Amino acid sequence: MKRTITSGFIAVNMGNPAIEIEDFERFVEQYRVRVLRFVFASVKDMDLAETLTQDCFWNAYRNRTAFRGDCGVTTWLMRIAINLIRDHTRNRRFQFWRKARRVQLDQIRDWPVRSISPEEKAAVNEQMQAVWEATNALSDRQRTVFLLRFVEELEIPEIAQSTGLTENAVNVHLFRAVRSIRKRLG
Amino acid sequence: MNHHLSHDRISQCIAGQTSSEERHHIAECPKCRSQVDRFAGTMATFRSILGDRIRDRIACAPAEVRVAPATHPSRFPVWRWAAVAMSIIVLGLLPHLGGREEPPPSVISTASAPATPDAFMNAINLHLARTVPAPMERMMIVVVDDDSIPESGEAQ
Repeated sequence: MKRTITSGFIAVNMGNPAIEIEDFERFVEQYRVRVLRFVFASVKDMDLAETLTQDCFWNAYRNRTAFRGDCGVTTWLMRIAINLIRDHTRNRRFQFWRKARRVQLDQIRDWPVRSISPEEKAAVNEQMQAVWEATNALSDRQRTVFLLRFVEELEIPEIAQSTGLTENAVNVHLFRAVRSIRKRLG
Repeated sequence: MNHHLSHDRISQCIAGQTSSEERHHIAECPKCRSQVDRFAGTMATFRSILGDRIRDRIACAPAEVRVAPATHPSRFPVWRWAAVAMSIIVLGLLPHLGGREEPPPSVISTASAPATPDAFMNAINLHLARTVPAPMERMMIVVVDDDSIPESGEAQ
């Protein structure tokens, strides 16, 4: 029977740490870009996104034996990431002595647009900045649902499993997010 | 007569909440289809560029796989520590905030000193007439005197 990366990681024998860590490394390599992309788009801070992504994989490693396969691995990881983002946001709300965090412009300038003319690159940069600011203006739930649907391309049932919402609630948040962003983009 | 879909209807179509008639209309109407395609194209570009940015970041600083949390294990918010510290300080200062301590008791307490000079002199004479200091008077009750000891030697 072919041993996939995912099944190997989840079903690994605890008795051999070397095999476990090797599988975990491949597991992280496989899913790190997706998780980091989603977290970065959610929190708008690359350093923070890397920290939360590390925590996400740490939690996944710690709870690997509890994963029963009732959802996809991506859905499971996104659920962990969403909870970490929510905890971080909740803790920051109590830090009233800090200034309100603005979207860091250096995070959204100079998008890596390749193989196009400078004029087109400027137009794309402007468009991406508009999308970036438009997603920042959404509520936390709308942003989460929107990013899971249009950035991570999860289906509605997967988004519902990741967020803990019903599919109807996901549809409502998704519609409101799309309407809001379309209005801002013009 | 406007046969185009409204802004909200197109948003619902983009969100995947559309009827078969609307899907058919979008397929047939260039204007409505262009709005749907434009949003889809924008998001596809956003997704692609975001992924490139992440891959560039990882390539510049590849993460070592650490089987440990990146954040500090203690997630006790700072404000809670401040509240605990304040409570300790307040509890520590409370005993000292109740007022002046009472002066050590003296044999002739000034608080109970008689008001007139004669009464005051009588109190002094009473004190000087004691054979046993006042604090020890209670102890003398349990001390057996010679008169209470019978000839047999047992205490009564």
